[in-house]
Amino acid sequence: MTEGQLLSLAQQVVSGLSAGSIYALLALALVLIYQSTDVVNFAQGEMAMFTTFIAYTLLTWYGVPFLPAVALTLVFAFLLGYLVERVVVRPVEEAPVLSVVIVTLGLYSIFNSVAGWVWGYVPKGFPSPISGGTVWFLGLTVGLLDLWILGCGLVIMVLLHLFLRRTTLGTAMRAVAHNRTAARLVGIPVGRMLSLGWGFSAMLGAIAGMLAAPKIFLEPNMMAGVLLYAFAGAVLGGLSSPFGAIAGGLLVGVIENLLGALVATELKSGLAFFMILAMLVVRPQGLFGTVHRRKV
Amino acid sequence: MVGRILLTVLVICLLTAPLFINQFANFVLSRMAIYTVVALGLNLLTGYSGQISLGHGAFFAIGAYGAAIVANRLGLPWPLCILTGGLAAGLAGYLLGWPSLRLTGPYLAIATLALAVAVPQALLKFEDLTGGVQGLKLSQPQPPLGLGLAQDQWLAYICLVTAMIMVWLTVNLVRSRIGRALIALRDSEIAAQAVGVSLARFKTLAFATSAFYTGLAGGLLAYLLGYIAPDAFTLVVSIEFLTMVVIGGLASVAGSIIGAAIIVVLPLLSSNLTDYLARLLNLVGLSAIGATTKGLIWAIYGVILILVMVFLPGGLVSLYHKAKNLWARTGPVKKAGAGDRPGERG
Amino acid sequence: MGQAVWKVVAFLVSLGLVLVACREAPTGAPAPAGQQAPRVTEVGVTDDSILLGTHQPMSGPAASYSVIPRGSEVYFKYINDQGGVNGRKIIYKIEDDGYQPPRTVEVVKKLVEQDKVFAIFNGLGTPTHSQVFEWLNENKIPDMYIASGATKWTEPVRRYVFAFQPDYRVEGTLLARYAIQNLPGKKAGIFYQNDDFGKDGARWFEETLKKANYPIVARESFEVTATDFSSQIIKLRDARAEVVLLFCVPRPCALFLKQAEQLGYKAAFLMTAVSNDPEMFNTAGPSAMEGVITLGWLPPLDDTSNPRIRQHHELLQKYAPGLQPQNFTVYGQAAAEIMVETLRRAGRDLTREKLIEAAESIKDWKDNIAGVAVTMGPNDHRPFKAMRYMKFTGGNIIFISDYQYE
Repeated sequence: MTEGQLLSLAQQVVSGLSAGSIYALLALALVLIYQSTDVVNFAQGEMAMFTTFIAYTLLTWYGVPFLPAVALTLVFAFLLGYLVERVVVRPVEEAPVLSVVIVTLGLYSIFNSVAGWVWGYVPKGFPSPISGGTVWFLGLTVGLLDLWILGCGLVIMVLLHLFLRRTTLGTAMRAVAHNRTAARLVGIPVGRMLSLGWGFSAMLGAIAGMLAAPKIFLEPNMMAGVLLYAFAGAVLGGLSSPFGAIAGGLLVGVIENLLGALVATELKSGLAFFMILAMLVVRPQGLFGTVHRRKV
Repeated sequence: MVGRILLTVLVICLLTAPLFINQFANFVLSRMAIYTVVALGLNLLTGYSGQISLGHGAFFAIGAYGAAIVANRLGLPWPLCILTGGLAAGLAGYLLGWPSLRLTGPYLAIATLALAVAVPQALLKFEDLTGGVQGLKLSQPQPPLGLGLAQDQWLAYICLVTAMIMVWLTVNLVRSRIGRALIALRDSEIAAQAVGVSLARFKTLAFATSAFYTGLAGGLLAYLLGYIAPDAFTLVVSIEFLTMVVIGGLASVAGSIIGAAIIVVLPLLSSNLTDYLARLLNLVGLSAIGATTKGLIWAIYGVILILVMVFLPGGLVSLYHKAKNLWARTGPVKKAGAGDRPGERG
Repeated sequence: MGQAVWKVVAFLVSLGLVLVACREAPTGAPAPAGQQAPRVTEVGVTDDSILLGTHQPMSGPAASYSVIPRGSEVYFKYINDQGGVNGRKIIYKIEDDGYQPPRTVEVVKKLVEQDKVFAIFNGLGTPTHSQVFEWLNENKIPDMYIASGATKWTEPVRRYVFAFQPDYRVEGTLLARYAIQNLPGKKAGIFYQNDDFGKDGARWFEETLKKANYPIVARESFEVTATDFSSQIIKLRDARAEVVLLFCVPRPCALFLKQAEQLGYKAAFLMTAVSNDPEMFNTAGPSAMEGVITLGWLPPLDDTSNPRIRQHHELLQKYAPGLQPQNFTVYGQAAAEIMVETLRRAGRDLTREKLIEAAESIKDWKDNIAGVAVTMGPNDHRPFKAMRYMKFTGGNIIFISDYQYE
């Protein structure tokens, strides 16, 4: 392999990391909700998109400055998640997994459709504190925006890890997800924990959406190509570990790009399926996950 | 007894209907029949054996393409082509059934979701076999001479009769040893295994059978349309399938039929539904946004889906049980029996 | 699961059949005896109205197109307020097919058989309309001005089927000719969407270049939902493609150009008219868009020196307040204009056959929003075949040539 080929392969890896950072962010939100409520939320991507549109509206229609708009959006996202749990998820809480999956699919339809109705389908740009510009490093080009997204992802990952493992609230939330009856017995307010879990993961989704939108543009279907990869990343890294979500998301991005470079670009998307399936068969808890034994 | 008479009347009604309705109505009827077959298949998997699938659009596609490819390459008669489509999908389902043995609940949903996304892309990729974006044409079955049937009537008959056969088969299947084993596995894997039900065998069997039904329906669709392309098998189709089974009623044959009818008819009524919504918005002075309400049909689906899950987990068919219980007034109203909250968590 | 459940099913299905039967009943009562016989006997045409139907993705993944029929609707309302066409008002019935091909078949059959439309007008989408155009032709129902640039509608010419916009063959050929004439001695690459639309454009681009012995060094495709094109970009860069065709819808085009800029890949980009949208400056950014060549056949929205564009803004304001003027609404109006012109030429004694003859008789008709001469004939069912080269520069998209024919 010549130096040129090696260099472009290295560039494929770097670009894969940049694509993977988006998957990783959404995967983090998926992990958070799974860790705190034991639910896989199929509407996670659409909720992220929806809240990002709220930020967009505040910024462009009402002229709110960037940081206050972000803060308001996070508050809105928290309330949205909290309310969604209270109103539509709570009634099926004790029902089989199927019911919860279907409810989140219903939410998916609602958010997607309403967003298209309110904001239309024309892709929109979204501002970012760090926008264009690239740095060159050893002959490789790295986008500043990508570094910013990745950096934010890593910070969130560490915070999330500390929150879930080191704080009382985080531990209580995990306990609720793990064994509801036992949690109730030791006096944890299960209902409130579940609502908080949805609220927090909606906030995290909003952050993911606002970070991703400058890169992949804001439109109702923006998450269609992201959600499946985020799932692949979460499953690959393990649905129970924030570190796994980031690593899994990035890995999916890199593998996707390398496969596109070495084999055929048409195969890029079918790949997510095979990674999910292979990983689930070989190691259902994921690369970095812990075995989560369920009570029968 | 009354039930039996009504059933006979219904079958006769359905079998004479294609003669008296126009092409459009025959098309709708055929599509209902096709969706009924899918609903029955998906219900076997999701309703009776408690495994979620967001990927039945993939089996639908495999069935349709299987039938079309066999028809074009080998020139076999149409019943054999449809059957081949079903068998191809059944095989795919069997193969997918093995890895999914290790997956429960949300994991299985994710894996099948991925399948639904991957198959249309594979159809684009293997152009030599599938025609890629151009899709495949196939000649529709000609009505036998002497019957005096038009093409659309004949197609409606093919779909209706297939659907009726599948309904009959399903009713017998769920009452058989196999059906009972599946339900036992759904309700408690450990208890079922303790009494000698083989988990691996029955779960893969459920997957294969369910995929077979769906593939058969796909083959019917290929003939009904006369032309298939990957765009007819997007993720939306898989979600539609799950929606109809849930709305109609899980683990219920009648629920499958009701669900299929609703999912076909609802979009046809959607322009009326969204028009009402628009009128409502006009009343409160929001005419500007009222004009675009047509796009909201998916939000309406979403709301219906959630409402059914929250208030009527047994689907529309459980309304009947509820009504019957209320009517009978045998003490306090108990839960509606079969059809309520099936599925698994464990 | 008792027998009793069947009662419910039986009831529901019977109810359904009754409803279907009711809707079957002829809507227009027969004229009372003794009265003058109606002058027209064509389906979908009454003394004071013409019924047109269409299938459009009003919901679902392609719902961004849903403003096209609304643009047409606005123009029809305007014409109706002017007294209609030959004394008849146009009723435009829009059915939602969600961009799902089987549903297209269903709603088109409904429009034809239940609603009894005079013609199908501006049915949208290649995968969707592919399901119905041959059926419409066989049943002699005018399939007017399809909202898709696929070449298959007019290959071969079918009596009842008419294309509308300049097709992807025109686009592919013209973009290739731009490379041959203005960028000689370079190597070309192709980046296309892996669907009907992308492949159609790539095919004609490639064929034209091949005839001129212009080298093509790389072909890369992608799925429409993808968000990352870096592997395709690096492959094009490594193949040293200096001229690149972009045949994709706006979002992937913008993503490609933005990511190419980031990866330091510079080439002459030739982009399909489908993505010719000022919003690209906001998404991809002005620097990534600088110098991109594209095609256009409708005037830009912000060209207020054009009286037809000013009229378009006014009409939207009046008949659809809240509907943002966009390229798609202009497109919808352009389609409605040629439909109105065709109906006008078909005369007061309107029949389907007369409509076809009227369309085929259009010669050098320039009174349309595009301002280009439209000519059709029995062997030419493509009204718009000319496009102009345009360039993204300094935050504007400007015309850089006159109308070019394929």
